[in-house]
Amino acid sequence: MFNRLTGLRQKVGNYSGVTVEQHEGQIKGTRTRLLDLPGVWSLEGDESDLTSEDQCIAVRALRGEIEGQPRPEAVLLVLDATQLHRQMTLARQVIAHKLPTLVVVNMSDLLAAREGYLDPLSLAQTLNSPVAMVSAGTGGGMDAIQRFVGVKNSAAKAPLLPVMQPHVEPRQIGCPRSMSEIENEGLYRRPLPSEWSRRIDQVALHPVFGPALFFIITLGVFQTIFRVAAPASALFQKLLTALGVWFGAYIPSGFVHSLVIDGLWTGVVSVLTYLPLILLLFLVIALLEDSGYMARAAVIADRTMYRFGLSGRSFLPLLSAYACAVPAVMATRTISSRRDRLTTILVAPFMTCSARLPLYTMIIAAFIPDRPVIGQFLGLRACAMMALYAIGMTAALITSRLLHLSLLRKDDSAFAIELPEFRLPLWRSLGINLLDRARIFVRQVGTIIVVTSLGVWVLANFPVHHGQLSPIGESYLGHLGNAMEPALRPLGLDRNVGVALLTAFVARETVVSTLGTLYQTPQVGLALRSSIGLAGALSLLVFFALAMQCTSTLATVKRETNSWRWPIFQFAYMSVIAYSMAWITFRLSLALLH
Amino acid sequence: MSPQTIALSDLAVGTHALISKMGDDPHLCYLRCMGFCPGAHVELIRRVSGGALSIYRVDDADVALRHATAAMISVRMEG
Repeated sequence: MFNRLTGLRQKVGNYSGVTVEQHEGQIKGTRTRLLDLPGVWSLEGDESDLTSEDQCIAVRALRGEIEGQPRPEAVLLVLDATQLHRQMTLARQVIAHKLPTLVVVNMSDLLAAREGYLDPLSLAQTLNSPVAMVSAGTGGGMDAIQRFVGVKNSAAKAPLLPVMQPHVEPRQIGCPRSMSEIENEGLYRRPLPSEWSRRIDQVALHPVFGPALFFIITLGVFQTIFRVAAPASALFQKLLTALGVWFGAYIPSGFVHSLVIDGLWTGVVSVLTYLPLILLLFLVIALLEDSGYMARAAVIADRTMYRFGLSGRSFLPLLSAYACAVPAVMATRTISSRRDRLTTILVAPFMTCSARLPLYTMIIAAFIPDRPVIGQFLGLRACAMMALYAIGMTAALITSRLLHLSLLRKDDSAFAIELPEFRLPLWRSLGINLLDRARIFVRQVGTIIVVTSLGVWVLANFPVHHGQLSPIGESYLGHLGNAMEPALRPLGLDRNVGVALLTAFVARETVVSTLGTLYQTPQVGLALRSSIGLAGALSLLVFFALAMQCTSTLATVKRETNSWRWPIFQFAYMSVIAYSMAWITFRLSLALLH
Repeated sequence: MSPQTIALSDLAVGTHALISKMGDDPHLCYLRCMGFCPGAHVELIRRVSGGALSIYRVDDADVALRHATAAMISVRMEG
C-alpha cells in the first residue's frame, strides 16, 4: 500500500531511540508526506514485548510526540478485508485519536473472490469515518485515497467526507452500530476460509510429515546459503578486489595508496562481500514469511528452542548464522518478543559462520590425519569439522539458556502465534523489501565498518618513520601483539597469532593470509606446527570458534539494539568464554599428548 | 472451576467450546486482540510437537498456543 502510494520515493530510517524502522515518502502527484507506521493489532499492550514498541511508536505518532515529526493531519487506517471482523478494536482506538481518518479496506478483491461481502456505508456508519475499498495488489480503488488526500490538501476545514465508492449513494452518518449487527443484517459477510491453505496445514503441521517438511526446508535454506550465496559472495569479493586493484593503479604508491586501498577499500570489500549473501538470505526469509510458512516453522521448532530459553522464531536466524552472523542478527527482526530477539542476537555469533572456515580448514589439514572413521563415508577430518560446528551450536544453546535464567529472565508461559493463510508472495513487494535491506545494510553498517577499517589500518601502519609506514611487526598493532603475548602464552599461542587475531576483527577470513605474512611463508599450517604445535592449534581453533571477532557483527548488533551496551556485553562474555575454553583445551591437550 | 468449565488446554481435538474466562496474565491482552475473549467460540484443531503446542481456531483464524498459555483460559463445553 505504502509503495503503491509513494512509488519508490521513500526514505528509510529508524525512529529515535528504538529499532523500529521508519518509512517516509511523498504521495505520487502531491506534496503530501506519508509516514508508514508499524503494523499493530492494538494500541494497548504489554510493555515488555517488542510488539508494544510498535504500539508505542504508533500511539506517539498519532499524538505528534515523535521527535522531528509533526502531528499528522490525517490518518489512512489500512485494514485487511478478510480479517475485518477482528480489527474493529484497533479501528476504534485509532479513530478515538480524533484525526480525520480514511478507513482503507485493503484486499477487497480477495474478499470478493472468497465470497465475502462488505457494505462500506455500514462500516462507515459503524466507525463514523469514511471508508475506501481498495486492493494494493492490483491497484484497484487507490484513486479514493488520492481524492481523500486531495480534499485534505485543498480544504481549509475538514469537510464531511463521502464514502469513496462510486456505485453507492453516500448517506448521512448516524448512530454507530457494532460489527456483529452489520454482519447479522447481511451487510458484511466474512470470506470463506481458504480450504487449500487448511489442506496444506494438514501436512505442514502433521506430527510426522510436518517435522519432515521442516527438515527438508531447513536443509534447502542451508544448501541455498552454501551452494548459491557463498559462491556468489566469493565471486563478488573477487570482482570488488579486482576493482580495487584497477583503481589502485591510478593512485601513486605510498601513504595515500595504502590508506585508500589497504585501509578504506579493504574495509568496504569486507562488508560488501556479504551483500549477495544477505540479499539471498532475505529473499528466502521473505518467501517463507510472505507465503505463511514461517509461522508453521516457528510452531514446529518452538518445543526444542523453548528448552533453551528461545522461541520457535529464533530458529531461522540461528540457521542463517551458519552463513554469516550479520544477516542472522538482522533476521531476528521476525521475532516479536524483545527478549527472545535479544537472546538470539547475543548467541547467533557462536554459530559457525563461513568466515571461520579458512582457518578451520587450514588447521585441520595441517594437524588432523586424513583417516577414515566410518569407511569412505566419514573421515577424521570431517569429524573434526563437525565437532567445531557442534562447539559453536552448543555454546549458543547453553548461553541462551543461561541468559534466559539470569539477565533476560522472563515469564514465558504465554506464547501465541497466528497462522496466516498460505498465499503466493507478491514479487513487487519482495523486490522492494530486498532493496530496502540492501540500502539499510550498505548505509548504516557500511559507515561503521569503514570507520573501523580505517582505525585498524592506522594501527597496523603507524607510526611513520622517515616518511615510511611501519611494517606490521613494528606498528601499534604489532606492539599490541607483543603486549598481548603474556596473555596468549597460557593458551599456547604466540605473538604472530595474536596479531592475526587482532586483524581478524576487520574480517575473520584474513587470519590465514595475515599469518602467512607474519610467518613469511605460504605454508601456514607447517609454520603453526613448528611454532604452537597441536595443543596450541586446538586451543586456537576453540578460541576462534567462540570469540566475538567480527566488527561487522558488532556494528550490526549496535544498530539492531540501538545501543553500544549489548555489543560490548556480547564482546566481553564471548571473549571470556573463548579464553577460558581455549585455556582448558590447551591444558587438556598437553596432558593427553604427554 | 465449575464441572462444565475446563481449561482450554484440556479440550479434546475436534471439539468446540465457548471461552468463559481469561486469566489475569498481562500477556493474554495480546490474545484478546486475536479473538480470545469471553463468549468467543473456539475449536481445538490439532496438537503439534507432541502436545507442547496446540492449534486453536477462533474467529476463523488459526492460532498456536503453548500448553501453559492455553491453561490460563477457561472454556465451557458447547452442546
